[in-house]
Amino acid sequence: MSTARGTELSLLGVSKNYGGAQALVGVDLRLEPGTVHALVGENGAGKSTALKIFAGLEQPSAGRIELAGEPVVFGNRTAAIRAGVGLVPQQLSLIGEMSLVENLILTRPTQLAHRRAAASALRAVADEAGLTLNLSAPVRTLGLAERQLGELAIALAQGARVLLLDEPTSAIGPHESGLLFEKVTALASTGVTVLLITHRLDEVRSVADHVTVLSHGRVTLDAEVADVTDDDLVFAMVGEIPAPETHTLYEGGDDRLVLDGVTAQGSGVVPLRDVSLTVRAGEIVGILGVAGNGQGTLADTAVGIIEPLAGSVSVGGAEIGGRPEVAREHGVSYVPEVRAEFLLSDSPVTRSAVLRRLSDPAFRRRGALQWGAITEFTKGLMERHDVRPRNPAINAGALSGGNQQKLLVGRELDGAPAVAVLHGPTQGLDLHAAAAIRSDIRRAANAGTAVLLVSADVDEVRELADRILVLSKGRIVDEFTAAEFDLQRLGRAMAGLVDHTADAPAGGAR
Amino acid sequence: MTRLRSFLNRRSTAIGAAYVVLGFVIVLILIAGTGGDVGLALSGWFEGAFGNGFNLVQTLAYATPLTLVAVGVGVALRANVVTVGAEGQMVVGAIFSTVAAFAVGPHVPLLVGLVIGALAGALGGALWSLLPALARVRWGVNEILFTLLANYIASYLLTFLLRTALRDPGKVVASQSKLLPDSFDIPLLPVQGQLHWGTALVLVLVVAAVIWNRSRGAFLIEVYGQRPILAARLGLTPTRAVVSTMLVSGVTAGLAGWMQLAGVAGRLGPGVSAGIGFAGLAVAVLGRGNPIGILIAAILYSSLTTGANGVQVATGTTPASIGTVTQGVLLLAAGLALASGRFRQTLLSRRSRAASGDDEDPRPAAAAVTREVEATP
Repeated sequence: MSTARGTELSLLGVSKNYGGAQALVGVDLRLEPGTVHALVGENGAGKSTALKIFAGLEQPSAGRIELAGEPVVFGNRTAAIRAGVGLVPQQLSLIGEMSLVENLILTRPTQLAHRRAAASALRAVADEAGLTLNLSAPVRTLGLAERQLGELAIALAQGARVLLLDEPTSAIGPHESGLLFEKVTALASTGVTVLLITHRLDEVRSVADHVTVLSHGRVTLDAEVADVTDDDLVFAMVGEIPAPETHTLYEGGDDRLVLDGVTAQGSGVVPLRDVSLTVRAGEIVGILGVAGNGQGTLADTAVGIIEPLAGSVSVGGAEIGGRPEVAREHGVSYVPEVRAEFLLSDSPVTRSAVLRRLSDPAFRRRGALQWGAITEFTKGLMERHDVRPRNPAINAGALSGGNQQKLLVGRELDGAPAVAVLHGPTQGLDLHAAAAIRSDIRRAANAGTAVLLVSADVDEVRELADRILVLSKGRIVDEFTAAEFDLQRLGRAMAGLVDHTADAPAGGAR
Repeated sequence: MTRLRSFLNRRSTAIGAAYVVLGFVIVLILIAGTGGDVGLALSGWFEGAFGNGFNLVQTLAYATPLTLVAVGVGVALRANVVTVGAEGQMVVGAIFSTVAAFAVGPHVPLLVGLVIGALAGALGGALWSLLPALARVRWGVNEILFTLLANYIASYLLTFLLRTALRDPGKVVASQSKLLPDSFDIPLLPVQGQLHWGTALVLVLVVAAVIWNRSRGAFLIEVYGQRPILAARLGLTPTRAVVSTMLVSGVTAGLAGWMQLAGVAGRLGPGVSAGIGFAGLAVAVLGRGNPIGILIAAILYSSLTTGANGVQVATGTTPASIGTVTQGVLLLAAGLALASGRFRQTLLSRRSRAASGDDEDPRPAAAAVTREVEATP
């Protein structure tokens, strides 16, 4: 089972229809051995559809796939695996309780008993590709980047000559991303064909040899990376982006959200330890950190969903620890990491839209909710925050991800609340939708909202925040203003390489 | 005003109706298969259930406790709390009413007797539902299991009491209580047949439920059923949501127990609940938790019992047990309708998402609510 040799894989004139909608229109895409090919585009541009067709998960409606110049049909995933097409999905598919070796065995049920054979095959592949991996520890104990590499190794051990990577850095920090891409580049240099799906242009720049841009299912640009500018790429992706709302730099309002020595345990593995922070009116404070370092617990604690074990959380001087309804009454808005958590997916948009305004007397008459008035309000909300389609009667879950997010952010930021805690508000969104949401955030801050922005997106936080705190292993390990921004320092802090003992007084004793 | 809501329910209601129709088609095939004439069977069913005043009253009489139980269960279903304890709650409600009646004795006015009986029944049902509710919010005990098993405890408690404290000493063999004092009997409505004033009370409760359904509280309960953490932010804690909805279902079941006792049997016997608690759950599902839907479903369900004899008489070949068969098929249809409604919804949203290509969402909905608010008391 050779892994060193890549192969050419192409889509020729491929179209894909879902019902009436055209996801891909006459797409030509040629992956060459020994190169990293980036496929970029906005959400809904057709990147994932192209990937699924390569992987055998979807069949093209028209056009064909060619492998090393020969037409092939991947009737299902297994056929594509057999042909040497490996997939590293965005949501990692490994089973956390099992080791990498055991996960490999799972993918090849016919060799179920051959644990030793599987281990040595995986070891051989990993060594050849220069991956240092712990093959026998349960996957959940590995770092996120190592899990990605583990997926890679497993794909290679399955005989992959083509690797499809679906937004591999969406959940990991800059430090780990660098590590991952180093290995990917090395793999490509041994002849493996790599397709990298991303919407981050810096990634295209740093690893890809060739880039194809999709927009509305059509190829709008196809070139060597060296031959194009970032502007070319952005223009090919989105045409034009409206100028963003500017943020009047915060000039020191009153304290709105105050966390003082908060220690809390959420459902995540990493508890929050002795976190103190203050967000003032009109200020945007960014929390940066590699995913899984206590962000969820921090956000949930700040809005009262999790009760702190020690320390206090207050809004405008009122203690709210552990009482989400009190936080809300004091004007705390919340966009959680999982947007579906705060939308009623199986009910019309009106029902999700009204949730923050349920006590508004305009929507009630003699105890009965006035759905007519609520529908009018919802139309206005959808208009103000550009939620499409503008139909308040369809189910919230039927909106696209970006529009669900715009609905949720719009609901929570509408009318500039006292405090807004936003966790990954633009995560997974395309440039248009993300730009719209960032404008919303700035507009709210300009109107006096104290914004706590928890995000794994360095660029976003850098662009929006007045002040940046770095969260690592549940602690605030570094803090700087937007003016002091330094990527190197940030990278070290996010990777937990900052010597925290120096600036932590008594609190660090635990 | 409720245009939106009816839009929301229109599709799922249509699917539900389609399954019910399909169920009836299956039953008709069964009738034809056993050599019965389908047309005769249908007219026999209609005759038996609604054909004359007496039969209609019979149907309504059986639909009364069904509706009452189902309205309460429907409230719990909105909160995604599945209680199967109505059977036991009816029994305990009836026991409480009986004990109250004999404790107070015959020398009270009718109205006082009725109020005491109803209150005692409601209290009994409420207490019997409070146990599983508290166990769920306090220790996370599954309410389906608890309510199901509590039914057995209630049933044996009834048997025990009927052989000891509440036993009618005049009867040697039958284990049942003495007749209730007259002032505790629910009087009959002035119609032909056995229809008591409880039916009117149930209608009032249905209207009340329709009005409540449009309130902020009802909406919040629904929000809790789908997104508990969101509901907590809106001020409805899990404890309040679970305890209040289970109490409502307990109260209605307890009242149903009182009605069967004081309006139908006149004395406490082992058959006081007679499967009405379980049938009520089916009716609540068939009626999709909507009070009007429940009323219709209850009458339909009840007509299968009362109309079955009509079918047997009319066809001569199809036994009356076809009614029970039909009820079984209906239950299956209700379950299928629920499941398929959900399936279709997922399918649709998946397809529309795939069409827009927006299938890259890194945050799966299924992984959403891992941080149950209950976990942090």
